[in-house]
Amino acid sequence: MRIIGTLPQDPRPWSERRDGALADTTMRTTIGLVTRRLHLARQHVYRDFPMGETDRLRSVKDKREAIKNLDTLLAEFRRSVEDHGGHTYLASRAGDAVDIVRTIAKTAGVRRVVKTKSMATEEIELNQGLIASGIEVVETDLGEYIIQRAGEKPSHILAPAAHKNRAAVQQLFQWDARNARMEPPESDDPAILTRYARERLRQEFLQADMGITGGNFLVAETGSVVIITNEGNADMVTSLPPILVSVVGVEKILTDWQSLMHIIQQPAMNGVGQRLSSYTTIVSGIRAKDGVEGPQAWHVVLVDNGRTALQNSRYEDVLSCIRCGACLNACPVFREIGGHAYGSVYSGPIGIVETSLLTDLRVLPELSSVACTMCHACADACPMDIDLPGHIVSLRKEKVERHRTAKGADLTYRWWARQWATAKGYRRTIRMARFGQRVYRKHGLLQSGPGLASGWFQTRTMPPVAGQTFGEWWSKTRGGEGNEHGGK
Amino acid sequence: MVENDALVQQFVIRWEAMGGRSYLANGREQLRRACQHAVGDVIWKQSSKGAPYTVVYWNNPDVPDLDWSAIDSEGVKVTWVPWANTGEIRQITAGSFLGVTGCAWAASSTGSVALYSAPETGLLPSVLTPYHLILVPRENLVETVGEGLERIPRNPLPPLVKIITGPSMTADIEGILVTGVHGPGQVIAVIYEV
Ligand code: SF4
Repeated sequence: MRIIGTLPQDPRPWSERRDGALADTTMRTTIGLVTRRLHLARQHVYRDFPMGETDRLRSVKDKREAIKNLDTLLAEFRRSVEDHGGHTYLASRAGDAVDIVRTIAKTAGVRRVVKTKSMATEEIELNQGLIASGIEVVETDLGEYIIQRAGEKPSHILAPAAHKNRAAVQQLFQWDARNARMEPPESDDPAILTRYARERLRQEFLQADMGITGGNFLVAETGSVVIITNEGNADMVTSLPPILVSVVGVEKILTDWQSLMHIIQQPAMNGVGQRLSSYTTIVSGIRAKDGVEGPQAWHVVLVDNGRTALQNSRYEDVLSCIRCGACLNACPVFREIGGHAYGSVYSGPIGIVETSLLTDLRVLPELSSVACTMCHACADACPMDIDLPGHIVSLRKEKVERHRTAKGADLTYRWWARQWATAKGYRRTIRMARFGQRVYRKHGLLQSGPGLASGWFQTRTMPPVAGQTFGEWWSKTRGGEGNEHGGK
Repeated sequence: MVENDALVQQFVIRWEAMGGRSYLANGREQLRRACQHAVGDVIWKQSSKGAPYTVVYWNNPDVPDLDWSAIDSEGVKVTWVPWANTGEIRQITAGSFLGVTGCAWAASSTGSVALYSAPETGLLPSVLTPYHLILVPRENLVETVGEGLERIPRNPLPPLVKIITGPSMTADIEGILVTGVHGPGQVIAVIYEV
């Protein structure tokens, strides 16, 4: 049976989300800076490290194969983890995953949880689920901590707080320090703000009863969860609290250790243009009997939420995504509007595709039409050779076929297509436009239009339809002389 | 050993490119001096924040016995605590300014070092302290992370493996790079031969 996933969504309509983003100058400056820097760094790292390309090609192959064998590999992964003292769960739906984690926490009497950044947990809205059960959840990635305190959502996979400037962060931390009875940061210098967060979060790490991480890779052969960070918070979360829960999408599976060897550098190379991130943490079992670090109990929750439905479809390659963010950094739309405007936890080109696919076009179906210029920059950037533009076109098509586009738009385009299917119809629309354009003309240019077209004109102008079009002139004169179109 | 020399050279370049610091030491005496210098240097950096200075170090063959407790720095008293599996070690490490560990291997093409968690080789001194000193014997160098991963014992795998490539860092505030957000803000490698 096909499981249709669920994803949280911003209830505001696209126009509001878009305008909100375009008006947010802090976010736009930072996102512009960060995306361009990362995009360039990515190009440099491949140039200086040619082996990265060989590994990449291997990884594409490995990953495609792993997705083909997903069921078998998941079973193998679960066996391996359980052999090493861990527990595993398969959650078909987002809600099931939250229930599983909540039960683990409740059974163990957990009161405080520390978390690393994880898209999967955002996707299933785990924090809300735990907090509603009276469990305190603290995000420990600096950017995530900032936006959690501010009650907001991330604006970039790798730079979640890109929409906040230093003054806003200082203000937030001053408030936070009062609540935590700590010395507030004495200035808005990013180094000082970061030091404050270090001290503040240190208490949380040492006191937490449970840690929650995502995972970049799952190795079926060895039963390992691989977590990549630059901050080192995953090392705290995996080594300090007595209980560790890893919440990971099923598609993160790799067949074996060999595949890990090839792919391990890809997230950092493509995401941030480094050969490897500062920390790569591989969890493969529980704390030794006489040990003082690592989890005493380890639970791996594998999340489906609409993923396996993509197997054997034209979209199957989407399951190879390593969440590197390269497509976001390359995308001209993302560079301008940042992540919030998408309204989904997944933004950028991959966000357009995944949001629609995981939910079978039920959530934010407008994305493929409104947030893509078809420039193909994402296809060039994607290390996993995912056909993002192809999928976006196909989603547009599916939407029309399945009547998932807005009614008004649907009718307008159908009418337009019918008219322009014949020369006669085409001429008719030109005559109509010439007649109708008077209202919209200003300073010799068209500044607006009726219905749908008004949106198009918000950021553009257009020359008006001529008093006599070329077609009209031609049919009258056959190019003869003595006319206004250049004959003598 | 030309080949090994090239690995050392490449490691140092990559390690420093990622923001790490490094020393090369030949023989026990040089190793001791390098460590003493590194410790003195980080104390000097800390000095504005005042004492006490506690260092947690691995007390196993990965870290040569250099008579650590005799190392102090320009009269500043340092308390040396050997890593041990006791309940308090976590709190002690959290209050320390430096962790001294060995490593299982180091990869030169990425400038990475790998640590395996085990009762005698705890990861916390590489996690909780603001500075981390890593002793890397020359023979532990491999070229790629892939080769390093291949070296990890498989049956069973260590419960936690950690590959460090530079200091803990973030650019989450206005895209400006800051080190030492959660883990060590400075990582120092001493590549040695005894
Ligand atoms: S779709 Fe490709 S480029 Fe985008 S995040 Fe996934 S792997 Fe990276």
